[in-house]
Amino acid sequence: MKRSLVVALALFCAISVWPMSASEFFVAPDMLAARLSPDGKSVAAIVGIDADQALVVIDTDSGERRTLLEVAQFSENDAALLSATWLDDATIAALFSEIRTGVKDLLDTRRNRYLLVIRVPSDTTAAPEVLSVRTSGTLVDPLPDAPGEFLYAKSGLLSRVYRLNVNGLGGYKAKLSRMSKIDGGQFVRSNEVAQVDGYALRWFMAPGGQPRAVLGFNERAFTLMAFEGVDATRELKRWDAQSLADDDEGLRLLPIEAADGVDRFYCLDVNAETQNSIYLMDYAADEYELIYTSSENDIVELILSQTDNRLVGVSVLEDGQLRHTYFDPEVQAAQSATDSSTLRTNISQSRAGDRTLSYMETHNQPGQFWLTSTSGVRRLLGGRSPHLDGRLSGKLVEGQVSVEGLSIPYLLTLPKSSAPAPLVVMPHGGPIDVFDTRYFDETTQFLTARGYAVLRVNFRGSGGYSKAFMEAGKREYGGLMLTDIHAAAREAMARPDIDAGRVAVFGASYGGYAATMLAIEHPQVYRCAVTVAGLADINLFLGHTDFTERQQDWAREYIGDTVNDYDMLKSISPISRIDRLQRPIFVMHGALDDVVDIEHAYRLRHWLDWHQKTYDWFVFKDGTHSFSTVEQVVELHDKVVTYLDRQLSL
Amino acid sequence: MLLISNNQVNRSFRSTLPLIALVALSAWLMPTVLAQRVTAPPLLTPDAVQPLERKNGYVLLQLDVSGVAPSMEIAQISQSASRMPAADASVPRGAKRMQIDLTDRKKGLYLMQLAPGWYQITQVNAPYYNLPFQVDTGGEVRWRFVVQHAKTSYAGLLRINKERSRDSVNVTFLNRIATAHDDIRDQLGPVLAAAPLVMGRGLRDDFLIDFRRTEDAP
Repeated sequence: MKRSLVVALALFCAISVWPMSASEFFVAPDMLAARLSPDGKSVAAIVGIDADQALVVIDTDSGERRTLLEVAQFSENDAALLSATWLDDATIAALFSEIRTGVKDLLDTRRNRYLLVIRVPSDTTAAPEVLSVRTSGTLVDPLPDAPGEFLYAKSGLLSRVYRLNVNGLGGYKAKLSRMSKIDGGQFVRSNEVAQVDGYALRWFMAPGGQPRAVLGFNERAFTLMAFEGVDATRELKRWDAQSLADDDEGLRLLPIEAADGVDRFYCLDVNAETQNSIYLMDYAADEYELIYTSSENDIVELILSQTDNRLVGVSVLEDGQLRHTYFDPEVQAAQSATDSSTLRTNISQSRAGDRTLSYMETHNQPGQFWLTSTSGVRRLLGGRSPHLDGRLSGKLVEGQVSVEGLSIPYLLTLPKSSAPAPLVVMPHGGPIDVFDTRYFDETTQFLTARGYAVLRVNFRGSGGYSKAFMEAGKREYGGLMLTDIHAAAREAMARPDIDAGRVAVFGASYGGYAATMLAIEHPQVYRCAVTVAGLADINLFLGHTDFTERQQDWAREYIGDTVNDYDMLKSISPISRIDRLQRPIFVMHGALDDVVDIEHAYRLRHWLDWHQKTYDWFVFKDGTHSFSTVEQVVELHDKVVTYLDRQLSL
Repeated sequence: MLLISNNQVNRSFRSTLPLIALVALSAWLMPTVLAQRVTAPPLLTPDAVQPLERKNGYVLLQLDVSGVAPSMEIAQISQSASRMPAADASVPRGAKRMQIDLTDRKKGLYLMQLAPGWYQITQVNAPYYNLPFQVDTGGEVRWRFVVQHAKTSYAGLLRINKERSRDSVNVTFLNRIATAHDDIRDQLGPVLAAAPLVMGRGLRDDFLIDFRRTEDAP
């Protein structure tokens, strides 16, 4: 007995310290999306099954899962479930997308979207009934208080909203008989709830499904029309498309959400450089008031009361994270108590308000879906990567370093280790308007689980902070952006829990460029570099024929002009400096990369060969710029960590 | 001095107005009418290439094209290979538009003899049965190449993706000089001995110049 306990203990210890392999770590996500039923008794969830998806229903009391449909069995045409919502307590509407098979060799093509309507049988052993709306359009309102009915919109030269009954719909892809009509012939005048001339962009409906207003586009103008009955007859506001594009100053308040009162809307000023203010606009009276302004960051979402559509808060992208600000001090206090590295969002609530489904993730906890009730019960219903739950023990340190008067934020993730950890500096790609968040990042957590500290720097040019911070990155590709990353690395290296003698730099796309440049410029710091899909020649990148005129203008402003600044751009390209490289480098690239062409890798290799530098080389035969399949992600991380282990003697 | 009244002038002008209009219209249309669509010189694989004619150079193209009848059209925009045309330079009216049939061309390297100068790829056609896919590239400096006398000028890789949708096809003209360098050297050895490889892209690219410089270094 004693001996078996020792063996079991030894086995447990071995498992707990055994580094996770890439194939163990990176698996297809489990739960992708979830919605709570109006009665709060069930959750409809889209889950991953190997490389495919399924729609499941989870009993919120028992946690039992029931599969309603598996996409692979349902359609062979590269299908996917995009979203799911409840129409009533026993009916789910799921937006379903599949490739419509094209003519031979026309690999097309067109992706068809259907609204599937699934009746959930009360008998758990019975098969669900799968219906569909064949007429193309969008779900406008699930009408949760009207079982079996929902509002559905068709947009065109004349846009209309119809009240449809689930009983009238036919089975998915069921053949129509002579006696039956598409969608039960429900798209008729008697079912019309609202109509307007022109393309409807946004319908504003009152609780209960009564139309209040519609924002549409017609005759080169955007119009906001109010309803009196079925027809949108009263024009509240008209904006000429040209005037919206003009540079002149002044407010241009476009409605985002309906407020209380018939003609009142919450609006953003689309003319403002930063959309950081919310206005309450009464279009009929042509009066407005400013009701909220964030510091200097874009408002991402309005938070409205479920009962009366009153604005109760906003979500703002600030300091590299999504912040929810509530106007009620008590709610705000509870929100402020949340750790800044925790992303928490309420997804849906039961009709009675007693149950709430929310999503939460932290830097070392992949996203999870939780059900909470007013009675205090809190139940985990599923997560994106349940195989990692509780297995990642890294610690997140947030810091800032000052570079030429600008405060540069960084995120340092430390492994659970008693000895100083080797450091991987991991600059993000993009680089303009892209940023690293405090929330879950797979690559960071994988490397941390393997014993590495990982430094991510939101260098100038990154998004998520302020427009000024982003614009500080203009034409600093090979300049202060790199200085920012290196300054943060030096600060991290000064920590006692970092082994400053074992530092590597690894990145993809711009991050690969930065990794190569930093290894060239600071061989005393970086013992090796890994570049994945990295830029090696900036002029080559800017000369790509895929760039549209608009992209070329943007690139000239933010990176440089390959015609007029050729020599400058050449001088900050790795191919021009590779003769000075003193450290080994691993060059990886996808053969099908259509963003940073594989020519970059070959140019780099040519000069590495010429200057007789030490390097490793790998081409992903089917790899694109994003490494989207699980197999590619596993292979990439496996090679990266093997290389780092070798170079840093781990 | 011949004096004529205002009325006479007006009348005279009116009577000749249709004729003037016709002449003006003809003059305006003439270059367009005269802009001949001609068949381009043969596009040959390295093993079938003919020796250069006295005044010509080779343009080296890589092809990776799919579809039932792909083709491209090129036109000369300048006869001076040494001077890069302005970015907004356009094909002179009346210039010959050379049609290059790319049907059934295998993926690989191809050479064509052309008179020295700057050329614009004006159009790439990638029809699919009754779907007339075409990309107009006439105003794009990235779709230019230069041919130098007695040289082999690398223009780029023209790729017409097999995957396409009903209303679009991806067509690119990539600079793959480093990627293809070994293939070029292996397949074009004798050609390059007589007509050395130079960069022929529409935008400046120092790769080959730097490559030569290091090769020549002691």
